[in-house]
Amino acid sequence: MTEAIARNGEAALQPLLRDHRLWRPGREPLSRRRTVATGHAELDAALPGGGWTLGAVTEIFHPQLGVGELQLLLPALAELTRRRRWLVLVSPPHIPYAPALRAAGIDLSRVLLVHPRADREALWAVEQALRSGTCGAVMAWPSRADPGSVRRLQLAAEAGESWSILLRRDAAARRPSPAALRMAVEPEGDRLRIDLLKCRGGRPRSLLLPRSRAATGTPRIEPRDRERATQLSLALCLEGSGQPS
Amino acid sequence: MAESLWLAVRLPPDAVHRLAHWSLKLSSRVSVEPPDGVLMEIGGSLRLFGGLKPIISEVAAHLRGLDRPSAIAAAPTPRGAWLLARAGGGRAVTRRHTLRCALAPLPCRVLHLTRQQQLSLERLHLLTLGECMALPRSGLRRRLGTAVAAQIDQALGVTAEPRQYIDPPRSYHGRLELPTACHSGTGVRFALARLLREMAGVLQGADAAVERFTVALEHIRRDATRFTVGTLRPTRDAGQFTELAGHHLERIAPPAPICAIALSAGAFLPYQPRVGELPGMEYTASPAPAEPLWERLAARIGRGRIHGLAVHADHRPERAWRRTPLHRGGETAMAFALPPRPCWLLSQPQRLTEHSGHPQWHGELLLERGPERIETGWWDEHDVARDYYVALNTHGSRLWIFHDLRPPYHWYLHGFFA
Repeated sequence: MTEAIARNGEAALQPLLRDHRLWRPGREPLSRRRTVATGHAELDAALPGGGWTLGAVTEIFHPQLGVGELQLLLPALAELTRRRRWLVLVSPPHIPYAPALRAAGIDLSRVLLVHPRADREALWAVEQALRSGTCGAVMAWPSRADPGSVRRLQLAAEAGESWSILLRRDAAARRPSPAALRMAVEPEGDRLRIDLLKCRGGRPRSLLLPRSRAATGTPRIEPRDRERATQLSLALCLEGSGQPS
Repeated sequence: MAESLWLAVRLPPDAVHRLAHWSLKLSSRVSVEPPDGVLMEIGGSLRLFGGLKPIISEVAAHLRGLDRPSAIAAAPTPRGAWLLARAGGGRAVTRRHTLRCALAPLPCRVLHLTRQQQLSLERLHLLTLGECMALPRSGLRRRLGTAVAAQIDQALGVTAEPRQYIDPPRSYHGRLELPTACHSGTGVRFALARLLREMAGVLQGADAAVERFTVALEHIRRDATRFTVGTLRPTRDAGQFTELAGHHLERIAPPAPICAIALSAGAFLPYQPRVGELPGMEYTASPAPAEPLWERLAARIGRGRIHGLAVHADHRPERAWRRTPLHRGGETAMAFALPPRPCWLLSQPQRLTEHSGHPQWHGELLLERGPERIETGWWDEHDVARDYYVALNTHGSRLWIFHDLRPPYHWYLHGFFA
């Protein structure tokens, strides 16, 4: 009788015990599963742990610059710098524009840029930064990174509890990779389409996020320029209307 | 405040400083009694270590490791503890009112005496401290000088005894001679572990940690075999030291029998404890210091290739940000209420192709917002007059473009909203 109760109780406990949000002393360090909210509710819901997994590699594939790949990351990066963790950018493709980063809430005193001379040095720098344990996130734009290198970065990220973000061009997405999270982002009309290609602890799926428009509210137009601007907008609208949208 | 309690250890002079440095892990107030004594105030440490007994057994275990004859005693005054230790030790007096009874039977030779004072005591037939205490102090001072009376008064706690405390060491050097010569690297493992434990204790006392330490295996009539052990982050865990050193010892084939081992760690670094795992705690303690990483990156990539970011008060987009040297990042300007700015700025504006007067970039551009006129900088060489627009191309990239208001009125791409 008591045995049966104990068995039932245990059966009821098992799902609870498997829940990674439950902390049990002396079991697995909680840190391995630390996450940071993405700042986008739909994306949080789709990711295991309710956010970006720290201590792991995230690969983001985008067709070209400016499609909204940073918009995805900025809220989480801002949160990490607020926690006094460093944000390291290794070989960014252009100048990360300080006024825009600050407007997104990033503490600029916690941002470091590294410009190595060669690709191999870049991967070395990423690995060092991840492993040091001082960086919240390390972003890199590797032109080529084979699965072996990604695996190294994954181990370094786990060791330093840092979030490794690799922003890559579309072509690399088809090849397998040991990264914990891989996603492709692509603009789709006014929204951003996110395909979770691989998601450790979750399942692959797609979702659409609203794309924050750079132009919100009424455009600010200086009086003396108003006429010219109106003409220009009109011309562009006419041109735009000729195309299928 | 806790009642003061002193532990006195008498041991051979060559081991005094090693014990004193190690003792800093038990108490911050450690004092050396030359030439052969170490005194430490442990009244304030009792609660932390769980009482007198655990402290004494820890010290005793360490002394056994040092392999030297020693005597331990405890008393509420440093002088009292020291006299008990000189009398052979093994006594622990914790209450001040029992101190007189405990000290009374001790022979007078436990005091620090000159030859003259010793002879005077013998002539007066004063054999124990109790007999001295019974005499009026003025007479004692007149006959024996003030030093003897002062020692007794300090031992009883009648007069205070100011003591000079030692400073935590900034490096560690230990050496251990082996009882018999050893032929393999793994054979000295236990001896080395003993030194490593001592170093860990010294580090704990100095609130420090080390990133590397050097082990020398000494041979007779040959140069020592040396190896250096490094850790990724500053550590003071004896277990980790032993494990790392063990890996090295396994690989070593000593060219001659090992007769002694020496351990040294040069630069002590400040200790940063790892954050405990508690629910709801996220990076509450400051993360590991960033300096070692910057140094490593700068050493390989070059100092000029690493920099921070700051905002600068200028309306010209290319001048609204600054590179800052390492560790100097931050906000240097007040915030303007600016229209949206792109995340990526091109270092050089890129000329856009035009199709019947309209800019193109990988297809048609749709102007979403603008213009924002920026016309400034006439006072230096780099004046600009531009109309900035936010534009969307057919592939969904959002761009920051401008129309130059000076001849030849070209369009340029200046950034990406990502």
